[in-house]
Amino acid sequence: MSRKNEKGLPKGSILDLFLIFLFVLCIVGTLLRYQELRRRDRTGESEGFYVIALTDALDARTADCISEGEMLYLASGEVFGKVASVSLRAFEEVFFSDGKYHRFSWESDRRCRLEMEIALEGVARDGVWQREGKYPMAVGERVTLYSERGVWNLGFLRFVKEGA
Amino acid sequence: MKLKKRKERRERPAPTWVDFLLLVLVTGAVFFGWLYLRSRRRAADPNVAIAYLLCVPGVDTTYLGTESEASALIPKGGSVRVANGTASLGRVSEVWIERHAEPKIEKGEMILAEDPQRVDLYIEVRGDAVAKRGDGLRISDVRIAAGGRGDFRVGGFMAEAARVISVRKEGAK
Repeated sequence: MSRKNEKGLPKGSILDLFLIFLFVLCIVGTLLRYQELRRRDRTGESEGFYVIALTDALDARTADCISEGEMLYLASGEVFGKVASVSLRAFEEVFFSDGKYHRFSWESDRRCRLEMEIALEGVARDGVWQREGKYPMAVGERVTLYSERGVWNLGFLRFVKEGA
Repeated sequence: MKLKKRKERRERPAPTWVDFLLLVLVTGAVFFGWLYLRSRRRAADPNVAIAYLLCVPGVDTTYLGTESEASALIPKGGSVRVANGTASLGRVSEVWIERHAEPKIEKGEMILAEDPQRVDLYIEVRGDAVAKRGDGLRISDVRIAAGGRGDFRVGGFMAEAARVISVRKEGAK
């Protein structure tokens, strides 16, 4: 049987057309599904807020490895937020004696505590700030974040709404 | 035999437009697959020179108590490797020691007292890293980040629980 029609062009059957149609439908369906998933990820309106976070004792030279404007990431590589400001606090040793707490710090001590203000997008629901509207955050929570040159173990001190 | 093969070839049906379309799709898939693998291979090439400072706090002076002992054990230019010695993490550029001091309560006061039995060992290392957004700086796929800790094999010395004190980029490659 000849596979060419009267004009000499190769001919296909209706089955070929149907297969091509199914193939195109798969591609279109995948694109639509991807768009739908991205739309669902944005739950509700988000607003800007800041989380003030503090590290434990840190070498002052390590504190130089983070600066304003740097992005912070989770271990998965997902963006967490952007550093809005960085400030250093003197590290104090505390001990309890004679019924009271004594605090000491020394000029020769290289240790410090780093306070970071991180800008985020999220929603406040029932008094709980949720990063990107999905991940609840709380004062006292500890998280490990990564910048280009450092890894930061931070404890959340407080949350501040942008513009407040 | 030859005539029979030629006859078989004549009788074979000609390719249809579906065959050509499938051929284009497969060729396209192979081409894009090759482009993707090439970009992944390029992404693994080191693209930035870095220098980082390691600190091993509280090393017993039995192992090394002076700068000359430290330099003999950890020569400049020596290789820095992961604990099991497989991956290379750069080369030693500087080595020095400082007195180890810890807070101590003495006569109701807290002082920062030096411990004569221990020293803090500092090692500056230089290497070529891969800088990727969201993935930091990696040498031999090991992330080098200030604030990190790990075990390093440095020359003839095992730096256990060494801290990465600082990291700086020295220039794009």
